[in-house]
Amino acid sequence: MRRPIGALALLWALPALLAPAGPVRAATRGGDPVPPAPGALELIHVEINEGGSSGGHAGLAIGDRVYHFQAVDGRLVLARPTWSSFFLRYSSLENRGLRRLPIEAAAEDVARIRAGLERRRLVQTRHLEVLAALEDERAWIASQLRGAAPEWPVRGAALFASRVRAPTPWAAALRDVVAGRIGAESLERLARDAAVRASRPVAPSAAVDAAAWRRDRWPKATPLAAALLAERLEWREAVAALADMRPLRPERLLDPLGASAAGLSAAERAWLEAGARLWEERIASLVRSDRPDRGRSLLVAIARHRAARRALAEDRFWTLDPFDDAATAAVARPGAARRRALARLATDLAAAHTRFRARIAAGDVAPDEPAWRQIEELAARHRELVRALGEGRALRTAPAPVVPWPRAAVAAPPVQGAVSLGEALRRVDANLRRVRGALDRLDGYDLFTFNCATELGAALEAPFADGVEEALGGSLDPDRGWAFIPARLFDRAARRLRSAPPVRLPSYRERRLASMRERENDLAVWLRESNTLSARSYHGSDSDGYFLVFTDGTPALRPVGGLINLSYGVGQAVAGLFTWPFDGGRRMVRGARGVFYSVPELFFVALRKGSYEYTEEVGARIAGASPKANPD
Amino acid sequence: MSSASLNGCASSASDSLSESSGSISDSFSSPFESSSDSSGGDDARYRGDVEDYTVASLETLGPFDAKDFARGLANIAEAHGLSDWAALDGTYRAVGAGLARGGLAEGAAVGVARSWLGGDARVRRLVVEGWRAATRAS
Repeated sequence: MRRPIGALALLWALPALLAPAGPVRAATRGGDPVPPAPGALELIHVEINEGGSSGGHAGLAIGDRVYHFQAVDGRLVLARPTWSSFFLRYSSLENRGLRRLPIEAAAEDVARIRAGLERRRLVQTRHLEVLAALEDERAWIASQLRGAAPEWPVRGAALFASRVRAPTPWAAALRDVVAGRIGAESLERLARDAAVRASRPVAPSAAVDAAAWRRDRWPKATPLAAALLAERLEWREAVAALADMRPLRPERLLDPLGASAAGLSAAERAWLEAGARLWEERIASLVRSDRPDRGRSLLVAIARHRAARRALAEDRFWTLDPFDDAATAAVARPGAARRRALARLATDLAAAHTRFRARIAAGDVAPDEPAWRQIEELAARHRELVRALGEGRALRTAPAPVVPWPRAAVAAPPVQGAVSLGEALRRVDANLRRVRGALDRLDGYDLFTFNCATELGAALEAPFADGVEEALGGSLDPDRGWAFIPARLFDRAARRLRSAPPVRLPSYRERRLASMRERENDLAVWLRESNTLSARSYHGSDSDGYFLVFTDGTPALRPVGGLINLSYGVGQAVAGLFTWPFDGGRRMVRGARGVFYSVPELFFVALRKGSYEYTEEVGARIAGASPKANPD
Repeated sequence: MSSASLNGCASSASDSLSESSGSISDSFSSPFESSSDSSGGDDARYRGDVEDYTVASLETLGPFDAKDFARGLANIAEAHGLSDWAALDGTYRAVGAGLARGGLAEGAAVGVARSWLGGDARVRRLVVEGWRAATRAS
């Protein structure tokens, strides 16, 4: 937090700056707005609400992607979700209005803006990968310095047991198939060579020239110890899993429908058989590959082949558990709203899983990797929710498609003897200092001078140097005046850039209210929906501070509503002092948040609109889980 | 409550699931995002990402390390839930399209692809297909 006082002042003293200015057209199409056309350019303003980015947010949509800068651990990171993901998060779950400004620019100019953003995203991704690699290297060296045997967390290694009691027939058959392709002796030699290479000591990384890093230039390649270690060890583990016929760890197999599940249909058997053959082909190809990431690809191919063969042998639809235990995200004692959301998600996932199997049974699904991954994820995510709800376990999840590469620590080579462990640690620490310093220099967040609005404005203009007026119709001057506030940047863009009139997309609750007003009496809707006790358009969220009255739709009554909300928040916070031992302070924190967001309401400013743990749009997204074509 | 949260610039990776509203729903449903959108779905997005990466590599790689290029492809594939980029014809076609977008003539594109991806006949054929399709479309 660089300027907390400034942030507070900004929030409370300048509320008017956060509100949209000027007329906007309201538009939705079934509540789910159409993304910009391919190649079209739109500036997006995400309106204020309680929670993250309570002062608003900004994004730049190009086609169906939205580029936006997020503050992560004190640095601005460029993200690029799809339009529908962006809409679901901000408009639905966070319940914020979105304003869209279609900017008129030539196709080649839009392409230049997009290319600049892509370059920046790729370069930043590379910078962060170097940081992660150095952190892993440091852990490897530090553990040796403490006297531990060297270990490395190998991706995919947690899929397999390290000891083989009696190999399964399908593991033996797979080894024979591969040996038949490359020769039995070759497979043994491959395993021997992989083990020898993986046992060679590894030198610490050379000095990373992070001082030369720029936002728009790929960093000079530096051989990193972490890459070498990971690739050698992945390969060793993969070839050993194949040659030694290692079985899958039992806990890595999921049968989500339980023991009562029906067996496999003929079509499902055919699907699994075709899948097993696909993985067999991949395995035979991978053992002859020399690319750096071949080991982890081989690990997952062997694991999926084992799962398919076991499913066929046991007449049960086994799939892999893809989650890395390190990806665990604790949801401590979820409140009522969150428990309801977890239950709805579990129902959605179970239904989608059933539909997916029905489509397989109907011969509708190709046994390719996208389909394989989807059925794994449906099963695994469902199990996580069931266990969280039933057993109070922590949830494991990942916000993106997951390849089953759970890590396990395996024996690793030591640091090369020419360098003492102390010296190795000093070198990697120096590298980390340089890299973190470079990242702070390039991406360090600043509330006023380097935030999601200023950087988006800069990225929009960067490709044009002196020709910005010709390309966009005017200049945003994102580093001047109030343009660091997303609402003000948007208004400035609407005034200065060549653009169509802005369009406002209502928030999720606004859409619900509009729909209710179409069917019911306006006054009845207003009375019922004006407070959190009787509202049907709002179900509470564990993340929202406590409040009783919605003040965003009734400006004249805000001070009254604010006073009620303030009193309610104070009451909950005080009560939270007594419930602390039972709820870990959650009630008190939510009460305090309620107080914090009630104060502006006393002065006619409504920041808080309520948010959602779950909406039916989430269910629709899960219901849309469908086999996707392989990218061939 | 961070300064970021007060101004804007939503935080992402550091948002713990227990703190951020709707983040569990978002996280649990995002891998199933519909493929029936205007961009043509996951496969088109994957190819688009490989193409962008190829263009950026041409522009900015400087002293080039072919293994680094392969590592980058592996990372893009993983982001799309794919474990084996080399098994997908679409990868090579997208590299070819990226080389075309980067302004390389067909012969030069083949040469660059050989140094980045090896001289396999299948790779060459697919890269050329991708290059020609992109050239025709532009």
